[in-house]
Amino acid sequence: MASLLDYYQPTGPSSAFTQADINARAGEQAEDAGLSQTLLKRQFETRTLPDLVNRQAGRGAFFSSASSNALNRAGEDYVTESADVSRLLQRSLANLSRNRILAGLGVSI
Amino acid sequence: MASLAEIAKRVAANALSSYTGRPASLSGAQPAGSPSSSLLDVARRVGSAALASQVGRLPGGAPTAVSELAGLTAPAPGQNALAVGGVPTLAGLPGFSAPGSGAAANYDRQFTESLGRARSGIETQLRNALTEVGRQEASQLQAVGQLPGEYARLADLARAQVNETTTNADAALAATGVQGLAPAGTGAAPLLSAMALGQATQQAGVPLLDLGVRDTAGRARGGLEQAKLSAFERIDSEERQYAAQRAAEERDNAMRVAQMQYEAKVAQTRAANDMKMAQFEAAQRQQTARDEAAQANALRDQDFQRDIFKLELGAKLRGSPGATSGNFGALEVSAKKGSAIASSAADKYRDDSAYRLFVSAINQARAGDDEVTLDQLTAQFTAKYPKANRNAMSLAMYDVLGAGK
Repeated sequence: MASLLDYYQPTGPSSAFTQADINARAGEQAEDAGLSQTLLKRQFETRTLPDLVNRQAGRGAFFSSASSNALNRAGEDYVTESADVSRLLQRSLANLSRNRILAGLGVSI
Repeated sequence: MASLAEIAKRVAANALSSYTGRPASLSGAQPAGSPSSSLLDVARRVGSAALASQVGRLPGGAPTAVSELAGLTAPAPGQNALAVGGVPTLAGLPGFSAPGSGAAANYDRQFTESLGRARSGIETQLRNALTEVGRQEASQLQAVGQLPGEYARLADLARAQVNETTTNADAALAATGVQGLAPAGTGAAPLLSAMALGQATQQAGVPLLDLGVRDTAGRARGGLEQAKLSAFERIDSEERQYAAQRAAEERDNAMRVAQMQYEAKVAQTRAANDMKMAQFEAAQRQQTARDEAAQANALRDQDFQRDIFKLELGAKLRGSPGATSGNFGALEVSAKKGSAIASSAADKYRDDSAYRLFVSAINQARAGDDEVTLDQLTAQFTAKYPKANRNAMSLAMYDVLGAGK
């Protein structure tokens, strides 16, 4: 007996696997991003800033412009790295949302 | 003394019993006084018995059918003679499905029904598949429609995180008490504008995704329709193959029917020829029996004529006074020929002197007073004339005594 399945087969794996994988990856990305930002924050607030202040104070240049410049650079670096983590997380999650749709269409990413 | 008719009866009875092998009774068989015709009638009966013995039937029975002679079974009225022999019918052949018969029609119907089920099944599958495609398409389109909101939510989340980080950094820097630090909230400004650009790029892809979803669903629908057409084509192909196969079977069957009809016709012709031959042989046997019976009749007739001639002679002689016996040569020829010979012999012997002398002796003896038998007279005459011709003497006795003188 002829069947339509003899003539039509959707290509690629079942989208359910892809959906589950995407959900897992989204969670993992968020977890990694949160962990990275926590580490960056702890690094900046409890190590970088105290080390930099102590070093400038030890050299007797605590109130110099060189000290404020060094602190500003350290702050910018922290904000840049932390914001980059957020930006990458946003992009990853957006990609995963798009991939969820593509996986539903049978498109292999 | 037995009359001539009674003697003739006895002779005919003996002849008949010699044919039939049993004593024959002829009482009342023919009227008295017509011995000649009665004897012929008896001879005809004898001939009929001989004929009947040839064909195996007693006279007086029902006419023998030629078919019985030929050993054939007579067909019923209106029935084909060959049908009795059992010409096989098509329905009786093993493994044969005559066109239009129940088995073939049933098989055709089952096949057609199975094809119909296949078609309707494929239609149902297609309907279900198209429904599923439509459902998936709607779902994907809904997901695509939600993408801009999702992008915005993620971007807001990221901006909030960046702002929070900037605030934390500003607070930590201010806590150090160092003067001349950068103004608060300016650390992530270039990054935020870059993130806004990335979000706009993501939003620009949403219409393309929408198109892709619709295109994919359209392809799926087209593929399903194509699959349906292919399946139907396969079913149609099977139907055509089946029809061709059935047509071939019909042709084979027709050929077998024609072959059987031809063989039946040959058998009919052969049987008709055998029947004609049997009829011809039976007619020949009947004709032979008739001929033999006619021959026997002729022989019997000759024998009877001869016997009649002898009996008449004897009767005339015995009917004369004093006559006790006669002396006659056997006549082995036909009555007519015998009669001619006899008359010729009589003429010859009448010229003999013995004839004349014996006639006068008989007349003298009849005229005399003494009682003398024919034997005594013959003995005396023979003693006196030892060389006298006996035939001439017999003729003299016949002429004198047979004429009733």
